[in-house]
Amino acid sequence: MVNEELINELKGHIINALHLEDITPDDIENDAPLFGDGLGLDSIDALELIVMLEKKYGIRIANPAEGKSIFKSVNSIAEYVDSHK
Amino acid sequence: MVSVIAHNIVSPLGMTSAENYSAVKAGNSALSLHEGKWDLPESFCASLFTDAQWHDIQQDGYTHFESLVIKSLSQTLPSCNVDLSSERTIFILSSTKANVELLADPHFFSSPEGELPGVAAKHIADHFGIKTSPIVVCNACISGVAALILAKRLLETGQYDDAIVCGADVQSAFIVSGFQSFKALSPDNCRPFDAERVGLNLGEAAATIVLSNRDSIQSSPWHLVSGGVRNDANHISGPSRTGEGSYRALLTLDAPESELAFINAHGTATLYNDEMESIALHRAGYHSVCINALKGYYGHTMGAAGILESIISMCAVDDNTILATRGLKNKGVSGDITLSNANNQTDRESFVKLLSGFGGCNGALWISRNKDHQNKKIASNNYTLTNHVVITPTSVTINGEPVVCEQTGKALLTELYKKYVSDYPKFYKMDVMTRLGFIASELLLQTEGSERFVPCEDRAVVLFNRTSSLIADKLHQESINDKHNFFPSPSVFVYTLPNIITGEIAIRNKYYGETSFYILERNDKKLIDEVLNASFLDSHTQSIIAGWVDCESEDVFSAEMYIVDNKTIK
Repeated sequence: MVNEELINELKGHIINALHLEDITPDDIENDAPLFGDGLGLDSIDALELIVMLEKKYGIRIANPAEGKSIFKSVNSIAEYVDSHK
Repeated sequence: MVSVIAHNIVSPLGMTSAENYSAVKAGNSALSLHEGKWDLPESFCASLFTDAQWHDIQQDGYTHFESLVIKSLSQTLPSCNVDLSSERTIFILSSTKANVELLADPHFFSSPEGELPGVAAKHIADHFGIKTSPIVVCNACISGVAALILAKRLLETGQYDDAIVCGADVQSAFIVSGFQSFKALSPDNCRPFDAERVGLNLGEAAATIVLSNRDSIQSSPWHLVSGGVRNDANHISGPSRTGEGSYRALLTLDAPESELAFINAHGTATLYNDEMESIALHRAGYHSVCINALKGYYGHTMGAAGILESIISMCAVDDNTILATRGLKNKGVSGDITLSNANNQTDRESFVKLLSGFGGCNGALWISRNKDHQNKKIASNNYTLTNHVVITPTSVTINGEPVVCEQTGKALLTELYKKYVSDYPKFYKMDVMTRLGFIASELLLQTEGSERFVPCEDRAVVLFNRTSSLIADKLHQESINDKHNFFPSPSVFVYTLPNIITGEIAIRNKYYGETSFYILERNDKKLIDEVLNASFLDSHTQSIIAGWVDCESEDVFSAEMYIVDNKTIK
């Protein structure tokens, strides 16, 4: 179980990094898919999330193909951050 | 008929077209691994000039970029009888980032006037005594092909007799770090169309083609038959999965497969580009003609690519040769196409050059040495201006009527978005210049009143400015200045190509027609008028979203955007 604090922090970072101006942390469900219809994210956003993880948590993802499973949902990102910190 | 009267390539493989062609035919490549170069934290594989070559290229009083262009022009112009001081000679420069490396210097960062592409073009024009105002084509990776198409049109409208077209880009930490943030670079030599390809390599070069429409000129048999630019209307960086824009650009050529020696593809060796091209070529019916790509010899030379690769292809046809695709071992694309992985013979006399780039743009050009391939009949055009929108940091007018607004500067653009659009959150991801152009186009199209979002190919988007993508350039530069706080961002870097704005408008409105971006030294109405008139030589184009979109800072900008209709169809 990942902690709520990290989840909320991640939501804030995602909103900032991806310029999701009209979205609040409460609009993003922990388990909902980030890509696809939900937030309307695209391939540049996926790359931007890689930069965000490196900048905020010092975690480097060399192969962008790995991003697909990591960025499935806020929960999956939190789990990844938790296990790589 | 628009004929090629001289050409040159200056690259790490040689200082003349002949030297370059010999090196490529022999299978040589200038790609090599660079570690610690420009203090970049990650190594990269690229085709770069050596220090000794730079010593030969560098001109006193000029930047790297300007010196490189001057070197290529100096090797070309003496061999052709072109009056450089004539009002009927135009200089067209193709470059994606021109002098951008200067932004790393705090002096230029705070006072970037000398860094601007139009200023560089003017320096170069003055060096050679060229009197007319130069045009910089800044259409991402298709700039070289787009510049040749523009030159062909400007000669065909009768405005000019001769056109000097040079494409060039110099590599720097700015460009390499941006592509690294996109995870687009291959750590080894790139492998176009190969099953194991993992990305592209960057390269630097300059290439020049001089074109003439004079009957009296002693020219080579080579001439430009047809060319077209089309947009994917899909995504600002990712290629269309259906190859939409490249497919449509290929169709504009009317080039029968049986007459082509080969098609020289973009073939960057990224997963998505090569797959996209294979689908576009397949859809356009090019199954049996050989497809090759030259990135394994030169890397991606950006603004030079379209011109450099066209010259190598002309040399190959002159030598009855279809060149191998260096790096290709096993086909790794799904389209039913025939790839060239060895030098082979041909007796055919023409080829197609294909390119695609960020902003969703795609360009195709048919070049031939067969005299039967005459240029198509050209109709004379005159356009009519319909609606127009003007936005400054403190005012907005639509067809001359002021719009009441409360905010100023960047906040004004957000106010307009909330009031007139509100349902396109991608707006918030755009940089300031793109927001400005996007909002101007929205106001313009709402005023036009036609049904929106109907897919079409007969409307082009052709924009101009002076400061290129200066705000995004500075943001990207700031993200790489500090080695210990080095976080280049793909969503910033993508907007360092000013033509992204034309792509955003095409995506929003499902415009598959031409999208072009030009940089001028100043807002020159006469020159803009000439380019817009010439744009109607694309026989599909019936109207253009056109205008000036310039952004110096968040508080200093101007947009004048209008719709022009082709008078000949009225």
